[in-house]
Amino acid sequence: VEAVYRSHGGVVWRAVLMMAAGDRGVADEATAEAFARLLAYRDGVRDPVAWVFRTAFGVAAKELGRASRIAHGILPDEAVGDEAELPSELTEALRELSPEQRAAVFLHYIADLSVREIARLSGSTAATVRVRLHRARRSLKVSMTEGLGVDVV
Amino acid sequence: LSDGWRELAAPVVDVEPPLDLWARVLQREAQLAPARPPSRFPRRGLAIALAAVACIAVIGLLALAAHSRSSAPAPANANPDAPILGPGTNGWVAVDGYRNDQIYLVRPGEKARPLEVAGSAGATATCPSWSPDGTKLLFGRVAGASQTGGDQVPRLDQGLRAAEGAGDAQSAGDAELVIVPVSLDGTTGAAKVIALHGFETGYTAPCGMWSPDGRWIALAGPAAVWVVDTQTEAIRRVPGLPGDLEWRPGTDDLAIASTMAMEPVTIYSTVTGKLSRLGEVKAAHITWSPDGKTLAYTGGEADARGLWLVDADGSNKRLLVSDMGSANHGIGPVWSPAGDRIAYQRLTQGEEHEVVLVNVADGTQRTIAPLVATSKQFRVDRSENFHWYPWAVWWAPDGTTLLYAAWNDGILGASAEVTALIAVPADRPHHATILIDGGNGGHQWPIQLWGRQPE
Repeated sequence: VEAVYRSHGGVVWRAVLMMAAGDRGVADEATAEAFARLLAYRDGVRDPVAWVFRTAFGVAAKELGRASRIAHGILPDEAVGDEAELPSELTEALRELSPEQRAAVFLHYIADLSVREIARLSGSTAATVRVRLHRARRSLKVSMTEGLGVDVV
Repeated sequence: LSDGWRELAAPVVDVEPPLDLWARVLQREAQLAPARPPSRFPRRGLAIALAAVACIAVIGLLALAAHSRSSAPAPANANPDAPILGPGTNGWVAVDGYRNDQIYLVRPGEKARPLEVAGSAGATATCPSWSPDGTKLLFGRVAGASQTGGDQVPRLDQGLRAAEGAGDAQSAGDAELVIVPVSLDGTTGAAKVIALHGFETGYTAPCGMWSPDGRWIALAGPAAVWVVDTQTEAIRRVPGLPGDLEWRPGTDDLAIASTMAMEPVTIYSTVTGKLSRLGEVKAAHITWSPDGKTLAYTGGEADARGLWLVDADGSNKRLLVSDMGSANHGIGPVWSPAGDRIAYQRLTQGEEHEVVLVNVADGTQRTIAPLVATSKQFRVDRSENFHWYPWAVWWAPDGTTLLYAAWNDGILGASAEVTALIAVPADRPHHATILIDGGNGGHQWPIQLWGRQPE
């Protein structure tokens, strides 16, 4: 587990940080909880990397207020507070996306993973990931070209 | 996304997790540890006593089992109410994504057995699909692309450093289709391998779908539909952005829905080699009625939540269900082999899912409640039950049973894998049977995991 943490802990933490739109507290808590549970339950886990990603996303989703907020793509205001880790321009853009969209955007465009791999890590389907990315691109295009003057294609 | 966005998002690569995060992990793990069963008995005497009781119990059970075998044949399924993969099937369900990136054959009450095919070691095998006559199994194979399986894990940190300039499509290896005869006892014959030169596997897996007569195989690539003649091994590429494919029953016509319903549904004729539009139908997911006369579809941009029917010539559009809920799901609606119902899967609150059965005659719907997964099934040290939620759903050939690719919400405490393939009687869903845990729910098309009975 420690080897998985060394190789993937940073990516898990950054993915959750993006998912939480820069809330470092959520990223710390979800990542620590996921790896702690992997340590506790490791005997039955066949794919520790995917397991820890899914668990971290699950914990983060709960931290972010969960079901109804996620269903509507709304991030609670307190998520971008004193602990915000990212530039305000980025967090403003990310707040236009749902938590799942943010995680998918990070894993695809920043961590450079394929759609299929993201589906495996997030416990979703390739089709769902593609939809998330498509909608994220559309939202970012609107928010960033109009609000920030950044060209998104 | 543009370079501008990448520049804006770059800070997320530069930030680092706190230095004491691993210490927090250990601290938290120590809090979780008491919940696990003790690894040793506290006293030798107690251990001996419990071992003796266990031995007596095992001997009793063995005697009981021997008596049962002598008086009646052992059932194929330990649960007498659970579906037996017998009537209308060849007895097997084929799955991928279970372990080691290989294909496995599954039936109730037995261990999963790997499909033994030469050349699959070290490659990723995916998307198993039984031929219409139930005698051959098709699957996609990608050589040298098994870095995601077994103990080899992807190097995400390398990906982070190489993010700049990455495109959507990545070639992960040479793709090929493999067709292998499988007998009723699960033994395999000589495989036919068809190379798919130029198929971009970084974007989508080579998931083939058999034509109704078993001659053709269609699969969706990033920018074309690949249509393979299994007799001549000739490959045709039909340009487009395929999102869903469905062979029309009784014909060699392939319906193609474009990605995100951007273009109208088209019909590709393998006889004429021509494409034609199905009226102005825009859809993300499609399914044919078993008689091939009607297409059901959903996911069009103008009405993403409606389930519509249209005649095979593109006329007589009519609404069957006005709101299917969120359509962010795997394979879309699937028409039952009997023709009377359509099953679909939808998201509920959060990322949970459920299956809905629609009566085609009048549009009435029935939701199948989430299946309860007991804590005993997952070896967790908690008393509460969890639920199975379907990522995708298929019909068994006889139309009485559904096959779920499912996950459960016990992930936050479970010590087992959380995905499974589950056989669910459509009218008695509480008599479900877990065929295998650890299956892959990520397929986009209703490929035939469930083999038909050979004629």
